[in-house]
Amino acid sequence: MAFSILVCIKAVPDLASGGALTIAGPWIDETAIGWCMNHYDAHTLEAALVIRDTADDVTVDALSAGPDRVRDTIRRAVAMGADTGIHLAVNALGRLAPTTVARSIARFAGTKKYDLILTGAMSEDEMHGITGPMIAAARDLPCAAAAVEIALDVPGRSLTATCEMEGGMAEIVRLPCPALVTVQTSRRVPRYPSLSNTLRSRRQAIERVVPAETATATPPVETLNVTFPQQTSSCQIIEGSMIEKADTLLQLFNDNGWLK
Amino acid sequence: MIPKKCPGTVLIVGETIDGCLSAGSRDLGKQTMRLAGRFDGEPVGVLTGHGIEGVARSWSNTAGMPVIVLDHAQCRYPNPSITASAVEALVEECSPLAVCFPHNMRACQAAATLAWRIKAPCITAVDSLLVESDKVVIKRAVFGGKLSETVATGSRPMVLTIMPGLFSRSASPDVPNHSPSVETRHLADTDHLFIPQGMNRRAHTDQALERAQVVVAAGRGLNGPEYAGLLDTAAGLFKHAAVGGSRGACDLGWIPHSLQIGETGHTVSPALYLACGISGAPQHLAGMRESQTVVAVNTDPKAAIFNLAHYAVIDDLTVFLPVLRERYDQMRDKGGAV
Repeated sequence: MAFSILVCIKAVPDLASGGALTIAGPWIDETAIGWCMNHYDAHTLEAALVIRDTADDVTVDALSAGPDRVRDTIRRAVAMGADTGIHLAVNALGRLAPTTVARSIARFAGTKKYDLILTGAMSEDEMHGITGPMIAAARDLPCAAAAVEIALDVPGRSLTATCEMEGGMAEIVRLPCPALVTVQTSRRVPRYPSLSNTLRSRRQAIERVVPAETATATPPVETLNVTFPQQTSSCQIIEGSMIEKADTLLQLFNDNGWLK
Repeated sequence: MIPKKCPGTVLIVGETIDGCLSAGSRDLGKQTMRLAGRFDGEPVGVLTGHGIEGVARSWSNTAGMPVIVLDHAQCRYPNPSITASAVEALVEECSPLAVCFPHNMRACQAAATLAWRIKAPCITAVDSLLVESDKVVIKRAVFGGKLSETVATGSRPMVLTIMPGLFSRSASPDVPNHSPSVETRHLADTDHLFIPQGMNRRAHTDQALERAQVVVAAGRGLNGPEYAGLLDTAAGLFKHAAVGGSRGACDLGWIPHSLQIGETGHTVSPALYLACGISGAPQHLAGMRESQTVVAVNTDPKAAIFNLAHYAVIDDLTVFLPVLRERYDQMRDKGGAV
């Protein structure tokens, strides 16, 4: 019995490869930085590919919503092993609100009858953690957040998700499919693109979908500005040579009676 | 118990885990009076769980607010699905100014679901909140704490998730000196799509990190598993020390997952927190912000951890920690004093 998975992926500013953030207007200068796949989404795609590796007849579609720059990230997802790449060309200038993205993806997913929709637990850049649950709300799907394990019961059309909580606890929930699960990062390292998939990603067309314009029903949240957090005056920078710094710290530790 | 269509209400939504108040809900309870004060509103608590009247009474007294218990057998463990539906009904009932959840991923799920259904703005991980004329101005961390974003909305109600310790540095207002009411509502069986199976607590038994006087913790700045031994070496300087790691360091396998400190791991408040190569993402700070003294070692002078730290050493930990150990050994060889 076929089982189809949609993985929603966001392109985020690439800070891991040494890129620095600069501020322009109320947000960062998006022209001054490279883009990469959101770390949480790379783990999400990996979770989907593991499901496909271990069950029969599973397909994995990777989708990203946004301007043309997200196509590189979609291509990366295909290179990692996604069967199909989909570009949801949301025609908007500037940043897309989570509600806009959720509405567009929910509409698209409604036309495809996916058994499972996966998103990252949050994005590294805006850190909302709400886009996935909003897609679920829009499609009226059961939802589990911050899963570190997903066990699929294909014949039973259900899944069991282990959702991470505080203090090392995890809640185990069962959801009937279709369902949406947001995925937390885990020890399972997202796979590196294979040569054959990389070649396939270069020649395989990315499906381009232009969503219908929809009036937004939710009142906007306006970004006034972003700032580098101000260093609190209570933080004392310890100066001097490496040895002098070490001695200053040891003095502090000793004065407080913490040292052996 | 709550006046019908009382537009001055601020709903404070907490949760229990197997009959105990969750840490985030306890913290949110402590912030209730100040939070409601910012909105110039009256707080009403909402607590989900099963058979939790005693816990609700105690939460109500500590926070100084009436509490509505939403009781259902499937709320014994956090259930964002039922929570969203039940709170949606309460929003319909009392038209609140705001609905506030503690910040964690499942509360974000409940908040997002609720906000979508009632067409309200949803702002998560609120670090600070001010009301300026008709707008609520909120600060929240973005890019792992590298930047702070200021957002505004004029729409009511709004749905928020509140970071722990939002008002911990301001003076605590008086909690009303009377016993507020606690009302229990038994929820109907409406949700068959989110089926809690149980709880896995395997990593919750070791309390060494919580008990330690000194915590030495590493982040991605550790640069590789081959340097993990440096943490043990540094911890060896202290009388009662334990080693931990950020989520990044644990995901990379450099530090065992059972020693993760942060929102989803241990919450520690030692006398000394020695943060080595930790950038200071909000999720990490949530697990260590109550530490009494924070010393941070990081190569990036703009790292967010320095906003919380008391002492900063701008250096590569893989070079600095061996020097620290060497100076300590020399000091001890000379007979004690630094």
